[in-house]
Amino acid sequence: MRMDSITCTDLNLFYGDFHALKSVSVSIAPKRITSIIGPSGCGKSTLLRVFNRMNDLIPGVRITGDVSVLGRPLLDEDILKLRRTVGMVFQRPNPFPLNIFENIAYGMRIHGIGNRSQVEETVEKCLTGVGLWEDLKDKLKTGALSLSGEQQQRLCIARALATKPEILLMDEPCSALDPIATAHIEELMQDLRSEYTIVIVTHNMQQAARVSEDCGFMLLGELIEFGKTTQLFTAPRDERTEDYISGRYG
Amino acid sequence: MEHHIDRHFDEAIEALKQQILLMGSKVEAMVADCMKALASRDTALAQQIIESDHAVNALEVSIDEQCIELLARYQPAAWDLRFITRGLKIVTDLERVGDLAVNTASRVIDIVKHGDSPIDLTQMSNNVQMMLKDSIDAFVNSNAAKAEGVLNNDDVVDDLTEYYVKELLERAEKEPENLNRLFPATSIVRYLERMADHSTNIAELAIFTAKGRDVRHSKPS
Repeated sequence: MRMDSITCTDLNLFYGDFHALKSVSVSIAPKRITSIIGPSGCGKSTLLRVFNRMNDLIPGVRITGDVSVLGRPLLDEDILKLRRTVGMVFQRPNPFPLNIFENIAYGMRIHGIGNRSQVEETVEKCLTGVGLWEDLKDKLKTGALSLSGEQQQRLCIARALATKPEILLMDEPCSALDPIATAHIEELMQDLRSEYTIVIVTHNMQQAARVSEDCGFMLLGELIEFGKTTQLFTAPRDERTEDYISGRYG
Repeated sequence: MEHHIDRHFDEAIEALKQQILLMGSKVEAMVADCMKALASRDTALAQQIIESDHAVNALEVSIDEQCIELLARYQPAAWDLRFITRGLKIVTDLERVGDLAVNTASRVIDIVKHGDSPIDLTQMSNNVQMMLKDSIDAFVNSNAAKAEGVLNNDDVVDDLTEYYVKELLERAEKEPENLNRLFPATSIVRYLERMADHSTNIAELAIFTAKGRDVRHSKPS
């Protein structure tokens, strides 16, 4: 039987008195790309951040309901282990102010993974995986901040892959990139799909339509509709989804 | 349905609807004129129908272009996507109905050269015109119930076709002197039946547009 990568049941999240996620129930299938769309403030990034407990440090956050990652309750998981299993890529490329090699090796060192040669091997494998190895193999000691925006974002994805996660969370990973760089990152996501479960939050509906197999639409903290991306974009079941994806919302 | 945030998209969709309605009304008029020309033995009117086909063809090309432009410019989704992509298919059906009206007008000329119509096709023709009108209205107004009515009407036209063809063939055996009117009349019955089939196609596409449910090659539930 297939085990879902992430399952939420009746998930509620409050920022103080503000009810940011309202009874969200969803199952994210493994080795697929799932997109979450919705207008600003709908809770999509908040939901994404629940999956690797990035909301834990925000004062006043309260969560109810059940969330499991790879079949284990989220709160039972050691947080370092969780973040090794669930990698995250952010909106703006945020490489560490270190050289290219160290950006990827850093996570492995923190988690005490591998000896020197294993680290080197992983750096090469991850850079190859994101299509950077050929360009950067002779510049590994160069500062990561000198790379282009697209290269920085690829590097951040490579960094997330270095700890061998099973799930990759991507929060608007292309919104700071031009259309060509966006196309390259989308192609990379398709290449990674066979090995990782990818959840992407995006404002770009065409991007969600292009890259994802499953899609959820959120509005005012609720998951209004979740299903196959093709179904959702051609014949959504809920009128609110229809209005949003047709540009009729607001 | 809510308006689009971008009102230009609303206007473009509305313009597309108007063009489809215009094409539909031209084709309906061609069919109606065929029957008028047959009843009044008016070969000039029949000739006019044949010549009017180029306007229908031009509308097909122009609607195609409008649809492609909307797809390219707006990357539509949901109902908009269904409407525009089905619009691309519907104009092909309408253009073929126009061609069948041209064929009908030619057979009308064949008949009236030799006398009156050998059969009254008013009921069948009225049915076909109604199916055409209803299917296009159903498409443009996203009215699935009206489209389902068209599908039911197709059975009536099929029955009438069978009835008239049988009658005309029986008469052909008995009245060999009237073959030059009976055979073209049989062709007209067949053309009307095919027009009804195209209306059925349009109705099925209208149901998909309205509900996102493909009923082609199956009976609607």
